[in-house]
Amino acid sequence: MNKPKRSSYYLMSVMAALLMAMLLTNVVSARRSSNNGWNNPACSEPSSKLSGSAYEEYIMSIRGTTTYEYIPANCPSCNQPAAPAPQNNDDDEEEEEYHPPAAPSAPSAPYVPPPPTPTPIPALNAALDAEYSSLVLFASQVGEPAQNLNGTISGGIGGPYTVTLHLSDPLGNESTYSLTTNGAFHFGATDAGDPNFGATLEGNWSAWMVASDSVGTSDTSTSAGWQVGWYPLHETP
Amino acid sequence: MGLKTKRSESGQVVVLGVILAMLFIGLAGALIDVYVLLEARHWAYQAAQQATLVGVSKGRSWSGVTADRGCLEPMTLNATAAGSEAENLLHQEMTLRGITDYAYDVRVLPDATGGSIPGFPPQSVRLGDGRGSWSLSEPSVGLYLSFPVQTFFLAFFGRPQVHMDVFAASSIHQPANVCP
Repeated sequence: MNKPKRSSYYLMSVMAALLMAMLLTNVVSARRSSNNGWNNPACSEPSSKLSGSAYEEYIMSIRGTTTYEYIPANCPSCNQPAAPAPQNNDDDEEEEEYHPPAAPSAPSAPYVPPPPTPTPIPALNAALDAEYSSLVLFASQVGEPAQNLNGTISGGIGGPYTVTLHLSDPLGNESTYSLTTNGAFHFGATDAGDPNFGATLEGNWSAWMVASDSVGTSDTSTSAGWQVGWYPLHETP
Repeated sequence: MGLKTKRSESGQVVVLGVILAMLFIGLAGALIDVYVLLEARHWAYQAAQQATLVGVSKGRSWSGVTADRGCLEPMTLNATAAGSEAENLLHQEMTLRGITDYAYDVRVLPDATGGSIPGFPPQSVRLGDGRGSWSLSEPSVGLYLSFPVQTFFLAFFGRPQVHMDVFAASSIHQPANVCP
């Protein structure tokens, strides 16, 4: 077996030395870069924007940006989202909000429309009012007005509303009238076909209504009352 | 003697018959006068009463009674209308009766609480309190009527006619639920 030549040893030593020098150069360069720091507001370490090196250019070409932020591996807090900067209330300008990174998207599923949001329907409200609180018996005979009832209905799903009008005379006899309205109505002698509507008996009268909308929601109004009186004549002894 | 007695008795019967006839005639005449006067008084009172009823009925002031105060407004009278209506009906009644010579006085208490009219009616024709001073607590119409009535029997005693004086009044009753 031939013994290697001395020149070969020299050559190998030179190559080894070159290799060591290259390694040392890379280590020193990496350390110098890490000591330059960075500018993540979540960390207390200094920071800086890195650019210019081949590696950085490669990363930036992948991201399609001109700068990128280098986060050293020995800064655990730097992997957390940066805390939002304190708001300055005196400044009216809109400040950029921090948006946390989006969660990894789940496997796409068939689109399911969200369930319809229930819209609250206002309660049905029926109110009835008598125009006159006192009437004269058989008013039309003496040129006085008969009763006029004014009703208002609101709420529900809206008109038209079906109204059942109840009229109670002083003897307790009840008569009903049906009508349809879009929210407000006027019911008087002409509508009832009685020129003395609500004035045919002396005493206390009352009226109320039951209103319902197209889906069946109903409401009963409070009772409106009036009194019918008369001024009897008599001979004086 | 016998003839003289018969003639005497016959004469007494004739005289007695004449006296009785005159008494009956006088009694009948008095009854006629009493009936005429009573009937005239009754009729006059009815006429006056109807006139006052029409007066208060057609004189009622309806405007505002349905004012929305939660109660009926007190009724009042339109004094002019009430008096005119009463007079009109009285004239019609007197015309139907054939009486042209008559006097009357119509007074109206228009307020809801009535009132008082001193010296009315002019004659004391009313019974009870307030004679000569008409006072009522309700709106009212009062009518005094005076007219002559021809007599039959009293004419023989110098009173061919008697003046009939009547008074009637009508009022409006305020309902219990009237506004104060």
